[in-house]
Amino acid sequence: MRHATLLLTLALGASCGTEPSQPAPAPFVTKSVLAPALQNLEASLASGLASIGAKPEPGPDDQELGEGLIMFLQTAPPGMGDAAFEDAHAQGDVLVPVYARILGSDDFGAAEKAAAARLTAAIATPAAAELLINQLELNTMPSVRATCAWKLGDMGFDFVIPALIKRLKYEKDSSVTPWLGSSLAKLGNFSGVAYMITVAAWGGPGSQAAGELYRVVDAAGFEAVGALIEAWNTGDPQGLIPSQERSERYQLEVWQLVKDLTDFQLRGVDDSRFILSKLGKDAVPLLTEALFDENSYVRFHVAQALGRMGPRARNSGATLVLGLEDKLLAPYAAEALGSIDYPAAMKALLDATGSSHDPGLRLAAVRGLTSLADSAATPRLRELVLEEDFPELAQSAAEGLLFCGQGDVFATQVLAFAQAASETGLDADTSLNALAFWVRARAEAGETLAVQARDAYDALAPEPGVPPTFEEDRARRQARLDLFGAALPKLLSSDE
Amino acid sequence: MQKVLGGITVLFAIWFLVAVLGPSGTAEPARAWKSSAECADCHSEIYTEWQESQHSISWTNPLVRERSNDFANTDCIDCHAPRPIFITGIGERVMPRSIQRNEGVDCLSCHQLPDRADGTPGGMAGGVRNSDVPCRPEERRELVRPNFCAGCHNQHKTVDQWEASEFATGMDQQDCLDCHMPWVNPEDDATRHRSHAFPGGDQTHMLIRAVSLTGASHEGDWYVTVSNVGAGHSFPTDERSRTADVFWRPLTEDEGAPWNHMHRIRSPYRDEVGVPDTLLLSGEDRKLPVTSEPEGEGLAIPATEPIEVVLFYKRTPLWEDLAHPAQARGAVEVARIVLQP
Repeated sequence: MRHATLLLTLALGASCGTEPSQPAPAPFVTKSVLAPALQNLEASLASGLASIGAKPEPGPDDQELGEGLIMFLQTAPPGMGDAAFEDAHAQGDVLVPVYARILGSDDFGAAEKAAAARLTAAIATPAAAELLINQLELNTMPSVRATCAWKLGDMGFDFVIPALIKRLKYEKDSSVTPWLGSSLAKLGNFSGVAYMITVAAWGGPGSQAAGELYRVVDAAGFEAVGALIEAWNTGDPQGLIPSQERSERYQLEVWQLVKDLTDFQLRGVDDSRFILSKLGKDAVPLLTEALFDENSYVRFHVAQALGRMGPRARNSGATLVLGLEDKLLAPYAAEALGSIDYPAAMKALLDATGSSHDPGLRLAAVRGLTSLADSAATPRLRELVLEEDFPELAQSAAEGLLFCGQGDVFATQVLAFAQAASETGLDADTSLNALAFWVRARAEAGETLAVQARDAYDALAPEPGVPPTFEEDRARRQARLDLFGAALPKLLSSDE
Repeated sequence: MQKVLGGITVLFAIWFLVAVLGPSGTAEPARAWKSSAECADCHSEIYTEWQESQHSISWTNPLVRERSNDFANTDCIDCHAPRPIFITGIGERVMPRSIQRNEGVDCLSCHQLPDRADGTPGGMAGGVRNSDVPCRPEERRELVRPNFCAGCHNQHKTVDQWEASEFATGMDQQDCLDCHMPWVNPEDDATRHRSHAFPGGDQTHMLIRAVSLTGASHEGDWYVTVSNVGAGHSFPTDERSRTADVFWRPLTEDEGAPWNHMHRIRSPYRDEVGVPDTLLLSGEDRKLPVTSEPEGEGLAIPATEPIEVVLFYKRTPLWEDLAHPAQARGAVEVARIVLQP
């Protein structure tokens, strides 16, 4: 019967006439992006790539010369070693297999292998760079890996950037990491600077790591490392970092990483996400194009990578907004829009919080709004904070309200959410960050109690350069919850 | 006027057809589901089983949180809080969800079907079809096939290992469900169901059933054989953090006497260059010499004195003190034998 009533209503509604319907937004249309991009670049680079694969076979003379150059380099007086590098360069790729054998052999020591790596770099061809990449990943001697990292920056091939970033993820020896960061910087990528800071903090201001860090900052034209990191992470709105023209080979490497996102095994996907998210603005147009790819894994992982890139990926914002129409991509696009700080997404994100949408998208949209921290979202966030049957959404909305300057009203609620989340395994860190944001704002206004709370909160921060253990992280979270638990009633009743 | 009458006639006919031939009206409307806790209202027994499973704590398990740094390593989220498998695709890699992550691998991860084309909730995959209940179960046989588990559990090749084993290719085939979702109340048609406790390496009885440890003298020296006799996949399997280690010591009444590390069974992490993969394949017998140093190094131990051999399983690869494995956090003694001359 209810069906009949509905039909009658619809029919009557139709007969009485209805409001003219709004034109539907343009559908998000996926297409084949990755495959043609790879095909075009591979075709364009075919001859160069083939030459790397077809290294000339070294003869006995080449073997002898390759080893002789190592011996010469090790024994030559200062300043005379250049002759060895010139000879290696003149010989070209024929020496690459010679040095590959030496670098992979147990018959040679660390010093000889490091010399082989330096001579390989002097060959200065893509094939030589690939050998250094291989040894950067596989060589068990830190001094050899450090030499490979150092020389890869000097060679000037931008296609080695992804390999250097990947090594940042896995390198455990602090003598190698500074060279990874420094070579990346030479190639116009500053994602290794944060790692250099960590290692420099271990070694102190007089360490080689600190020296290399100062050199990187100076060469980039900055006076302080903080300013360099700020410029890199925020997408360099003032144009302080020179923009980079990237080679076709670099673009091919980026598309290969995008292709790796389609692997079944997450281990390759993890690496790809990590590398892509640490590329510079130069990769953003390619990744934005990839958001339209027909493969759903490409779309969603690329959105993740852009989000992790942060404001450096702001130019992808318009496409991510379109991506909200794609059911699969939408939640990842919504969070990414907040992470990249794209204020123009405000209306689209507010629309995505509507109750007719998928709960995952609604929550992601609120998280996006929370990251944007724009007071224009306040009225909607106030509505969402009342959704008792969706506590995660209400929690995220309350956090957003703190970032929008509503802390005096919602701080208690956020603290309660954080305490509950901490007990149930949900995210409490964003709530803590929101509370800290609110306290800082009051402290900056000169409020004594807020200054005390802020200082106590900051005093619980981990020591710079020392990665905290899991137990330390957890203890710090609880201590900060306790701190806010004690401070909040006083702050809220303060007359200051 | 004729058009108006015609229209009314058509509408009446539609009403009549719907009222007479449509659904009875007793069915509860289909619902959208946000949390697995909602399933407990009708499926309390299965929900309770699931609460005891590793699936239910895949997000909250302290070991997992430690290894993922409280999921600051966001790459772990994909498998530890996955979107519904029927939505991302059976046998395809899973994708991470945004909501209710603390429920881990929950009811919805395995049972929720995609929305219908008209946007209404798609119901749940199950063993029977019932359009009268709000979860609208549909019979979906994909649920019981190994490929269903592959999105997560083949990340470390567990399903591939099974496919290559006698468990998949032999006369007496056994699949994931036979061991990890055994029947509960198999004789009672009314209450028979597959266990949702998912027993696995977290349960000592499953470990004991998976491997055996034997030993003998051979040409005057002690040898030990560790065999994968009961797992339809490698032992250990899945996470690379899992390890099994064999230790020996001269037979002693002193339970606190030190052990000698003998052999490690484990697949290395991706950044462990030069570490061999020593997982024990399904059905494999591995004969190991008992020596003074690990992995067959050092001097052979002559079979003139009695020795004791023990196999420990652990879900983290690091041992605080290899000489006293029983004291390590989370170490489970799986097998112990005494070899007499």
